[in-house]
Amino acid sequence: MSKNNAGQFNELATLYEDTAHWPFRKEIEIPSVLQAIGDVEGLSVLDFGCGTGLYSRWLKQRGAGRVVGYDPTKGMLNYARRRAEKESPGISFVTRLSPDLIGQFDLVLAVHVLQYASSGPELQDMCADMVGLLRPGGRLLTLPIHPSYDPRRSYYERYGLRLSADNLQKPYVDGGGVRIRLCKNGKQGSVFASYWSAASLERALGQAGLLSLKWRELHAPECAALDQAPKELHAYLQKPHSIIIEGVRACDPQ
Amino acid sequence: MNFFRFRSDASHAFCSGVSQKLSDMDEHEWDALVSDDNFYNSYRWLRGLEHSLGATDVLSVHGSAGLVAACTLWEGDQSPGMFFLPDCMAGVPGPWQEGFLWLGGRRNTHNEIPCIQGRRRHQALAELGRCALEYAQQRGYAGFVMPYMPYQAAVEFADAIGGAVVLHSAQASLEVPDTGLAGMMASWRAHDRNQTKSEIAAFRRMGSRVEWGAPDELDDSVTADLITQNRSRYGGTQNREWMQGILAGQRKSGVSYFGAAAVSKRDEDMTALAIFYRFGATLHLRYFGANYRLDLNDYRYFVLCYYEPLNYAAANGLTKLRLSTSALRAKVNRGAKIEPQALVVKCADEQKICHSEAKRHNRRMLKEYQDEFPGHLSRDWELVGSHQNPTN
Repeated sequence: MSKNNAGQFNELATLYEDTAHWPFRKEIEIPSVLQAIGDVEGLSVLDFGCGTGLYSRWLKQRGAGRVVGYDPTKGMLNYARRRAEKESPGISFVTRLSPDLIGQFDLVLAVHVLQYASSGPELQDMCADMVGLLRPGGRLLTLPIHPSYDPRRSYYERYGLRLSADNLQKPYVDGGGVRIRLCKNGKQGSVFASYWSAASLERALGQAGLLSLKWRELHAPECAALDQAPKELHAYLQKPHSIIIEGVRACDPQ
Repeated sequence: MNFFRFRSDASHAFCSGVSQKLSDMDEHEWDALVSDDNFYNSYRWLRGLEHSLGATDVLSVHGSAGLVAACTLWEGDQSPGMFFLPDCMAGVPGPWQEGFLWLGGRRNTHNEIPCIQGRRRHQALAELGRCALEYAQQRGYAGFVMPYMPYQAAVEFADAIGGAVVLHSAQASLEVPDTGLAGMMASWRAHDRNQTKSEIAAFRRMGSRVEWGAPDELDDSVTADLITQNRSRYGGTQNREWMQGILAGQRKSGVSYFGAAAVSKRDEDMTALAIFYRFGATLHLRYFGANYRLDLNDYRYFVLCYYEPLNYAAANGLTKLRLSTSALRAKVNRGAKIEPQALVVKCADEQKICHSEAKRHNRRMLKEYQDEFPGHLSRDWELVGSHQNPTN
């Protein structure tokens, strides 16, 4: 992630942490991610772009062994460190990926990160970084902007989220700008992201050495079917703004 | 929450105000602005003071996404000592006998402004300074000060608010080697190494041993008694009940969760203790107490405050041991580096402080430290030197 892209998060730590209580994350994204991750007992995990350390804390509390949170944004990491030392001690938070982290992790989680690659080469580098941290056979779970998200700015507004494509006529162009605005309970903040198509994401992850790619739609795990989910979540569940991509790092050739 | 808003002509990007107690603020939002070294401005430390000594006003600056800068306020001490402005400003002409507003936690010997990182940090600091001056003027203060700031933090704050930087203290700290005390001793001259070995040997010869535990597990009345004995010996005036109140406040605020107590014992008698706080990658030494009714010459102070914590810090992944502002020679002799500390002052009447006098004072103080502690000064002292050119 470029310095500029990272810097835009410096003031957003508390607001970002608050989103964990917003229904689209609390009822849908977070349980979907935790379900996809499964049992983490004893696993070494790197939370790539950990932000406030929300997932890092949960993974530690669920029994993960070594947990490292990485984020280049100092403002986010300050929040992460301060909160984790009270609630989930033993997590290490770093602002850069040192060589000794390469190939060390059973699981790399990268939630809402790939959209902050602002160019094709940057997307490729980011994927290479994520996959390079995995031991052979380790898993990557990442959540980019959904390649079929709804580009109308009002669509997600009821969820405290506004995604607006720079070019509304052509919202699904690789590298196209997307402004993401968070707004709820009197607080607001916005960041600039980029759209990446499914083909580009698969290509970048594949070139980075990730195999067995699976796409998993976000859902509400508590509800067996869409019509059993609370009505106010239906619109989000029909067009979630994010999606899980999962894959495994290729084993090194013998 | 009683939140008085300040008018901000300078910037509509922020909303500033004063609340009358820290509990009006969200703990996590506050702490997100607090760096590893700034433990004494962390939420729970300040809440502990509030529980023990009563609430104070809090200045805060909000952006659209939340808190961007904040600090607690108090009035300093009204009698000579470390928090008496005429003493802090000795050698610098100015209206220091008048009332000044003090920024930071009460009786803090390390202060930084809790503030966001990034491109709007400077603006956020400037807004906090503007708000502090308005608050001070409304209440008839001659200005405001923030004391005991690391030099670079002081320069940054003064630059943002148009204040003056005045050196007034220094703090000792140790970088913790991975191998703890052994690693530290390996870097020393043979004389210092032998001295440490003989002090530790004397401690053991007297039948003393060290036990680590949580401060919460200790009896507050005993802890307070030992700390008060030590403070009285060096001129402290607070009694045991005062210290007990402080410890009770810490239990209530939860800051003691970060605490670690090194206790020296002979048989089952507690002969001394040192209380530290872990915060980020730093171990902060705050209290030393001793039973001086026992006439022991067993180097318990050095064992508890320097040698043992180096091993404790290394074993717990901590990389820095932050000591206090006193007895710097003893600390330097045991491997500490000395860091400059400055006070930032902003007078309501700008003409009441002469910036060139402040620089002259800083040059003088720099020279004194260079003469007294050659080879033991942190790199910040080089910055002090480069900033004191009268034309800067």
